Amino acid sequence: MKYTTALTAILASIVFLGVGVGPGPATADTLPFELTELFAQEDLEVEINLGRFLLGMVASATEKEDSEFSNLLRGLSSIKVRIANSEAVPKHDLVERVRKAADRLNGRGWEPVVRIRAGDNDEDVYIYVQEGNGQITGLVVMFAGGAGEAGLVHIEGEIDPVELGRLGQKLDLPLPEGLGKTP
Amino acid sequence: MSRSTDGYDCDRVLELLELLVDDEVDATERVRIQDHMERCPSCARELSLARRIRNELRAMPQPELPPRLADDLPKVPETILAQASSPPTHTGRWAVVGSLAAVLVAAMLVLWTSPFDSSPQVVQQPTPSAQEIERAEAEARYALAQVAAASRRAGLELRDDVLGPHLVQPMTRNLTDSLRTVPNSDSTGDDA
Repeated sequence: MKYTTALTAILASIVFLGVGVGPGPATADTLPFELTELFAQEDLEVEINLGRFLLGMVASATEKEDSEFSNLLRGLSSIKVRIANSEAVPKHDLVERVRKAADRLNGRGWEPVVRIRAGDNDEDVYIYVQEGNGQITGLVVMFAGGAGEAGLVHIEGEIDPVELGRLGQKLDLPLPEGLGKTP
Repeated sequence: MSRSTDGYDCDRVLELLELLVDDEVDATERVRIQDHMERCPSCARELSLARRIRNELRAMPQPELPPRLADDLPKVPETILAQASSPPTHTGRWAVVGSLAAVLVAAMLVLWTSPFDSSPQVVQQPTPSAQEIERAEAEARYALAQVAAASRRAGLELRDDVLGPHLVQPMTRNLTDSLRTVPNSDSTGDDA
């Protein structure tokens, strides 16, 4: 029965290896909450997910024409954007969700840089950073209220805030038609 | 164990068993093995079992190649494909079993990772098209612009709602009050 034994051993090793190397549950995000907890998929007006690979490609593609932008992207490992509109979700609900999310960042490795709880007619803005080895390695910007929009931008990687601020001044906010939209 | 006059014992026969099942022994060896089998029921049972397993394996439905694997196969270097398709150099049972296990484990890994696309670092990324890169660039610029815009709005709110009413205005009031009191004190001093 050596064949049977051999086949059993093979199947056992497959099951063992399969369990060991399979992706299983998704790896934990550096945020202490799921993005879907903040904004439901169906309420999103803009959804952007850029990983290291694509960011690297963009960095290479823009190296000559915009070296500042290229250098900034080269250090990043991911960019995620979620924008929800109060047409889909009541404004106060969006404000409340963003407040709770910001509260959950506190004491979990995220340092608040800006926390503005503006009240009913103004906009709440939260800016948190995560540091590692003396560098900013994560940035979360959340806002809600104001014009009725609520949003989150989560950037991971080596972030130079000076460069980011300088570059941000030059960038236009409107997203070109058809981009960043949920399918 | 039985030993025939030509020197083929059970160990030697079992060593050649897989080649026999796969019709890869020459005619002389085949005759010698069959001679041995006629005298050795144990080896005959092994041969029968080996043939049955082979037939059952061949009767199994042919698995379909996952589309992504089919797409990726042309990218495999030709040297690797040549090695894979060259005849086996080891004739031992465990060499074949090991190869089979490796193939099955590789297939298992491919199938295991196929339905889940949540770990892009495991699977080789396809090269994005120029349009995809252009789109990603616009999205990255938009994300950075959102950060800058939110920072600006926060700055303005701080200026108007915090610094203005709680710092600048009180300081201005204090300064004005101070300036008002200065001439009075001077005049008082002069009067005195």
